[in-house]
Parts: sequence; C-alpha cells; structure tokens
Amino acid sequence: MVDKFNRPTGPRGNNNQQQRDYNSRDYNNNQRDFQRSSYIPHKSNSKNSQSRDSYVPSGPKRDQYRPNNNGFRKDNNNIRPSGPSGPSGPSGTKRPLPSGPSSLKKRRDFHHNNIPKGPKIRAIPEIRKDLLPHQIYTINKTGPNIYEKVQQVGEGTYGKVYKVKHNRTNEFVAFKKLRLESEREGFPITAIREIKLLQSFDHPNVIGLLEMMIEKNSIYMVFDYLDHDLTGLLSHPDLNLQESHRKYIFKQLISGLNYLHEKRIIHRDIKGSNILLDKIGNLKIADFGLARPMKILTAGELPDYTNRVITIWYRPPELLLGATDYGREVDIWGVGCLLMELYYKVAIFRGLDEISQLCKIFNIMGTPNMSNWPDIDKLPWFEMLKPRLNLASKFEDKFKKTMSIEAFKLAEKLLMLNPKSRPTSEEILQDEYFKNDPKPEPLYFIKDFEGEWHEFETKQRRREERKRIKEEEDAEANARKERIEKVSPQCTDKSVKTSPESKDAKE
Amino acid sequence: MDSFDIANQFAQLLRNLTPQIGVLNKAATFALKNSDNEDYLFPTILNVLHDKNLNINQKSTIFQFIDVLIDEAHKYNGAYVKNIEKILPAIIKNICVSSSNMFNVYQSLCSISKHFKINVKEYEDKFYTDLLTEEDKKLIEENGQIESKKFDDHGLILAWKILLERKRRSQFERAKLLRSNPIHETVEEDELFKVKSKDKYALSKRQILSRLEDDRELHKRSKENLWNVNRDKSVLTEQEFKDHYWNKFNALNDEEGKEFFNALSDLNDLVSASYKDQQY
Repeated sequence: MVDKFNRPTGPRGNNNQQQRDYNSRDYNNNQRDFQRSSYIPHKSNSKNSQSRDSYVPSGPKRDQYRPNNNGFRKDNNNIRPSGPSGPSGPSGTKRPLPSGPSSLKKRRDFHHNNIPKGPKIRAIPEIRKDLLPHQIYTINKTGPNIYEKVQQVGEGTYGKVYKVKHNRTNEFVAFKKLRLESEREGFPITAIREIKLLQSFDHPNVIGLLEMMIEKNSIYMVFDYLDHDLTGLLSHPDLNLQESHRKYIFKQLISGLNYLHEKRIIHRDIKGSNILLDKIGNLKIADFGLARPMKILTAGELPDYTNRVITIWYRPPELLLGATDYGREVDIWGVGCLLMELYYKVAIFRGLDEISQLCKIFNIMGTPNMSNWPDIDKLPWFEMLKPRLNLASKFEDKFKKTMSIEAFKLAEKLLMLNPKSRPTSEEILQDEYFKNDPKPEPLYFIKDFEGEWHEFETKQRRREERKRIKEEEDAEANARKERIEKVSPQCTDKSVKTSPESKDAKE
Repeated sequence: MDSFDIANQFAQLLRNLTPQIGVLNKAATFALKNSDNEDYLFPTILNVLHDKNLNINQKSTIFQFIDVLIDEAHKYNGAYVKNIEKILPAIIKNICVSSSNMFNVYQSLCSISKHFKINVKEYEDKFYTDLLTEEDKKLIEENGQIESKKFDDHGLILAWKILLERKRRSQFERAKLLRSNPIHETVEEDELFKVKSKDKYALSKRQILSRLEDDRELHKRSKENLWNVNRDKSVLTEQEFKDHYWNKFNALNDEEGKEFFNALSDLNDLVSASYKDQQY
C-alpha cells in the first residue's frame, strides 16, 4: 500500500485502515461488507481453484453455515463452523474475538446464553444490474449442516484432523481443529506462523489452505482432502511399488520441497504421515506446524533456531547433536529416510529417544570421522554424545542389493552424516535417478484399494490387530490351562504355576 | 540471620539449582542481596562443587549460575566479581572433570569474560580449532598418552587455558579412537555411548536426556529477552529504535542514519495527519 506521496504506508497505517473497516462493520445490517470478508474465496480467483486437483472449493458462504449453536450442542458429530465470528459481541463493546478458552471464562459477555445467533435471515435483496458477475456472491440459504464430519483421520499435539464432507458439493475436505484448550497465552503464535505460511503457497505438491473457520471457541483450518498418506499407504499389505511408481512419488516430494526451499522455508517435520497422496499417487506435502522461514542473516551472524523439531525417526544427526544453526539440509535428511521407506516400507532408523536414534544412525551409516564430518565437534552436545567406538558403515551391505543403483547412490547422498555434504533439492531434481529409465508413472492401481490409508487408521488397525492377537493368545492360554487341569486334577494350584507348560501359557 | 546461616542457605540453594533462568536469577539475587557476607558466601560455591554427591549436570548448572551472578553483579558494585575470578580456574577444573560439561562451560565462560577488562578473543577462537600439536599427533600414531600442561597464569586467563587443555585432551582421545580399526558389528547404545559406565564422571542416559531437555528449554527462554533493552531513562527514543532494532539487521552509516530519521519523521507526520483529532 502506498500513500498519496507514493511512499509505503507501513504496517501501522494499514492496521489503522483495517481497524476502521473492522469497527465500522455491522454484520447484521451491512451485508455488502460481510460478503467481502477476506476469507471467502473470490469467485474470479480461478487460478487457485484450478491448481487444486482434488477439491474445487465452492467457497463457503457465510449464510450457509451460520451456526445454530443449539443444534450443534445436540449433535456434536456435525461440524458446522460458523465462519469468522463477527467483530462485535452481543454488546458490541468488548474485544472482537476471544483469545482462547482461558480468557473465555473471564469474559462475562461470552456466556453461553449470550452466544450471538448470527444474522437473521432476511429477504434476498435484488441484485443490481450494473454489477459484474464476479462481484456477485451466492446468497442462497441452505440448511445449517453444510459440513458433515465423516471420521477422524489424524491427531497430533496441534489437535485433530477430520475428514469432512461438504453436503452441497459432495466433496471432501480435511478439517484441522486447533487445540486451544491448553493455550494459556491466547491464540498460539505457531498457528499464526503456520497459517501465514500456508496462505503463501501455490504449488501442486504443497497442501493449500482453503479457508479458516471459527466455531464457538474452536478454530479450524480447512485443507484439500487426500485419501492416503505415505506411511499409511506403505503399510497396505497389497502394495507392490515398482521403480516408476517410487520415482513418481519421490519426484513430486522433491518438487514440493524445492518449492518450499526456494521460498526459504524449512519444513522441519518431513515424515511419511505428512506426505499426502490421492487415488493415483499425486502428492502434497502437508503439516506446516513446525515450518519456518529462514532468517536473513547479516555477515557473521548465525541462525539460531530450536532443535526441538522433526519427529525423531526422521531427525538428522546434527539436530540430535544440538545444532541450532541449521538450514534446509534437515529436510533433505528426512526425504532421504523417505526414499529408503519407499523400498523398505518402514523407516530405517527407528529410535526411541535421541540417544537410541543416534545409535541406530551410527550403526548403519558408521560413526563420523575427521574426513566426512570435520566440524562435528563444534556441535553443542557432541562431547556428551560422542561415540566411544569407531563403527564402519553397513549401509551398502544392508541396502544396495535391494535398490536400483541410482536410487542407492541418491539415498547415500541424502543420508550424508555431514549436513554440508547433502545435496540441495534443486540438485536432487537433476540427479541421475530421475533422468534414467524407468520414467515416473502414476500409481493407478491404488484406486482399487479398499478404504483410505493414513497413519492414523493404520495405527488403529494395528492396535485392533494387537488386541485381537492378545485376546486369541489369552483364550488359547486359558484353554491350555483348562486342559492341564483336566489331565492332572490332582495338581494343586501351586504346582500348576510352577510347571514349565503353565509358564508358557502365562507368557 | 548470621553469616553462617546465610552461607548454609546459599549452599542449599546451589545444591537445588535447576537450569532455569528464574531459578538461576533467584539464587543470584540471594547472593547479591547478601553481598555483605561475600567472604562467607563465595567459598561456599567451591565447597558445594567439591561435594562428592553432586552430579555432573548439577556442576554445569552451578557454572551457569556463576554466569548469571557476574552478569547481575554490576547492580551491586561488582560484588563477587574479583573473588570469583580468583577461584575461576579451580571451578573450571572441577566442572570439566567430565568432557560433557565442556560446551556449557565454554558458553558461560565467554559470557563471564565480557565482564573483565581482559581480551580473551584468542582463547574463544581457539576452542573451535584443532588444538593438537605435532607432538600430540606423533603420540597418537605411537598410541601414547599426553601429559597435562601446567600454566603459570592465574584468574581468567588460567581458567581459559584449563578449558582449552581439556578440549585438547578430548581431541587427542578422539583422534586415537578414529585410528582404531572400525567395528563391523551392530552395537548397543550402552556400548556406543558408555551410558552405563561406572565412571562417576560419566553421565547416565537419563542424565543426558534431561540435560538435552534443559538445554532446549534454556535456549527457548533465552530468546524471550531477545528484544529487551536496558533503558536508563523511561524515555523511548528513535535513536534506540535505530540502534537496537534497525541496526541489528542492517547497520546504517551517518548519512543513511540521517535519511532514516527523516523517513521516520515523515511517517510520524503522516500518521499524525491521519487522526481526526489533534494528538499532541
């Protein structure tokens, strides 16, 4: 924005303007202002719509999902977010939005009885003829259940993710419900960072934020819905990936990552469950809860980021050794782990904590030495976690035979212990792996897979399977116990317990 | 409370220190408020450090406390600074019995050094270099042992030299290890990191994990004051904005500085004009 002298007005001037707009709005009476609410996708903004292959948003219309709060309380399974809550509370004198549950309790004006019921449905005004089509918004009135929760498909520290059906378009979207209950200091700044980043994305291999929704005291982020995630898909018993399929997945992953890295964004949570795939293997990188833009540094300045990032299985050694001046290379290690997973279906470094994770890495990749990582002793925790043995790399022996030579060579580069030796995403895209045959090919066959395969459901299935096995084992053990008691009824309880067979049964 | 009681209470505080800024500040404030009893209190630091039951992590935390204490001492006429400088070499020797503490000690010592009028840049830089001499490298090839150097210095310089000597020993041990034949079998974490070592100066797995978490938390907390300014008067000036914020990212020369203030002035005029009512 510029002022009348063609100078940037700066954020303050901007805010004042926004504030004035904000205060002057009356959602009940000024429908025009209301329709221009910035979160509603603009009709003429067809570029974004076209770029999303799996969901073409019709654009949530405020009037369509204006909450009927009483209805919602009766049926919590139906998610009917209200869209942005109006700036004025019932009295119109307090702050526009509650900052979180803790402040909610303090606010007398936000008592249940006072929840605004939204604008009253009025007669549809006649549309002015001098308006262009893109200036006219849908004002059809519909029932309150515009979105219907189908099932939960994910969960993390941030909150829960649901698959949700849009009742009018019959299309699915993903709702990420932010967990605000534990927030003491209002709306988390990390969520603001995530939203800000998501809003700036426009790439086929990076998830797009369709909109934000606020209902009661919950905030939802609405995303494209994709049927699978990489961890879930790889756990499918019938999945038989060919080299061309792996390349198709991996190339998209690197393209998406390259887009982020070119924008100076580090994802910081690359892992299988954050890589979403549709019915033919089109891929999107998701979950930017830990992502951050890189600092612009002056000469001699070092970045100083937290190393409490990246799920431990995908965390590179420099972070495990306490680095805080890292860069995009941390994501490259993560995609290296995923490349291996495309061949082995499970993560190859599966530690329980930092020490065991480093142990897994060093056991496979060998311990670092002066030639492959001379600067390692500058890392904060090196003295605490330095290996006391000199281990040789077993990577080649373990994996070379079962991978294509190009894939193996690429994985070797991605999983370099020294972050400085890892290739950039740009360089990976130019790698021989992508140049040589077979060429990447979509995974048409996964269309036939029954159900949807996300890590969340996979874990659920595993839990159920474990429960089933345990029940079977218990039943078998009980049966065996009964048999023993029948065979030797003279045995006392004590003697049964000490017999070897009963020990087995117990186990 | 008499001096003895205060010293006892101080010792108790030191033993129960946790690496959290609030706790460290509290202990430092206690020491500084009782600086009349400095002669009783400062030897307490060494006494506590020599306690055989004190674990390695706790020793490191005490050094962080010393860092905070010296940082705050200027508010109390530089109490403790001279006395601590005298015992600094002994403290470093005690805390660096385990190489695990070396990095934390280095960081705190850098910070402490700023409060003395001695240039230690040379030592700070050396910490990140290869400290092994040609003689050391020869010994590595011969699988020999190095002997610790003795220094004639005292105070801060001696403290630095002791730290660098510890670092040299650590480099020597690592270089020897890397010359050994690599192992091809898979090993357990206990073997690889010696986390179950009976060596009383080695950290257990639990202690290491707790240290990692503490360090992360401290790092997080350290950022909370990133933009704090020690302002003598309660007056906010444009100069402060330029020095503390703008110059952090792009230092301006005199000419640019003038332009900067002109631009700020224009912006202020613009903002003032945007108000309906007269502001000032």
